[in-house]
Amino acid sequence: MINRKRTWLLTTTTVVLALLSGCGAEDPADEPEVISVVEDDPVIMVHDGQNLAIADTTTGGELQFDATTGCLYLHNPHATEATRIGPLWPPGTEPVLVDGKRGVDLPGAGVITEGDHVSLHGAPDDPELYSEWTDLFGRCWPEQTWVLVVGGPSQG
Amino acid sequence: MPLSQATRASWQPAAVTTSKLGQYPSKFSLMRTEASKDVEGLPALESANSGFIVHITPVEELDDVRLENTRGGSYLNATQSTTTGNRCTTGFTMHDVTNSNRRGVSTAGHCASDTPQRWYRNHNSSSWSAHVRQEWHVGQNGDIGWYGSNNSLPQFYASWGGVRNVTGSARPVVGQRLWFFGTGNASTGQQTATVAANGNCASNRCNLTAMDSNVTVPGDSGGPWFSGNTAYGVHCCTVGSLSNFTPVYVFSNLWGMVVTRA
Repeated sequence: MINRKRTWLLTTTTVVLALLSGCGAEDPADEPEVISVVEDDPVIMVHDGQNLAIADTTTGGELQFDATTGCLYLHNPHATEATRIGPLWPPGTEPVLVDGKRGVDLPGAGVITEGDHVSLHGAPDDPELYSEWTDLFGRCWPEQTWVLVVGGPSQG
Repeated sequence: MPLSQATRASWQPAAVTTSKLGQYPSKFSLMRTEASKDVEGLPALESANSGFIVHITPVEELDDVRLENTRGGSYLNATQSTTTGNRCTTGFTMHDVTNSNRRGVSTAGHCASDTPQRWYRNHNSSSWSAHVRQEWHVGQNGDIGWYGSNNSLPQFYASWGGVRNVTGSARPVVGQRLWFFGTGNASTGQQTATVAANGNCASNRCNLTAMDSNVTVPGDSGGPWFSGNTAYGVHCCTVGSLSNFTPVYVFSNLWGMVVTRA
């Protein structure tokens, strides 16, 4: 059974910033955040699909859940350095809880949960490339976690 | 916030590999350089003009090794599979005009950043050859890398099985129509799009050329953007539903590597 979370309950940085700023028409806070944190169970991060580069390659690994942070990550034991990867999911991705397993409903792929081996569109990047979001990523991942901007499932 | 830059430069020891398919001897060097012919057996050779240390692995049973003739537009995958694993494409063959030991095939930097060795395969071949990462960069100057190859040809695949000579390179101009080929999807062939902008930045990758549409898929990273026989760039990524690539002149600016011409 899928416990699909209602989006209006999700606290995103966009909503918080918009409320605090008074929602002025010219306010930069009205613009969608490049990366939003969806505070749910599990916590996921979603990019806006417009401003980040989605590398046109494929990255595989096992989806895992970190109970300490409440976040998902990708584990690839075959990687040289990028063994732990923090996924930035594409717009429309929703967190799900299926029979006690955390995961996401990924547009174009359906529901994937912890323990599933997945192949995703994108490449792991050194977190240094995303230094302006270090604090945001700290919610979920330690600094050494590589970052994967996910375009969707890897089927071309 | 200053742009982040990740650059790695290294000369890797020559590959000593056991082939999964058994078509190669159990121990061989795929990175045998011209220098290694002269100094074979020495532990290391210091490059005169770069300061790099070149490690030499003795070549054994080399007569039995079947090295691929490398081209642009070919498979450059993390495993010996055309459909699974981390997949990329070669761009163009390149060389250093001042150092004949530095030659190989270009690709995207993000293909090289976590993959010190990749497997190369031509279109109409069943043989894979291992190639060692030489340099890569993902950051302010673009998204580029290259792997060593002594058997590189001044050619690229412009379509499935369609080999084309390279006769020059040029900078992309806004409004110009370019063509692309990548190995990401076996059911699609050559693609085309028009240059929309130069100097694009995304995810702190800069110096990208943005096209006016998205014509690329996973596995196309590193593939050649071209017009006729002229090389323009190596594919990077999709940004806001537009295909983006790094111009080939960046290889020269960063590392002194130029596209090998016929």
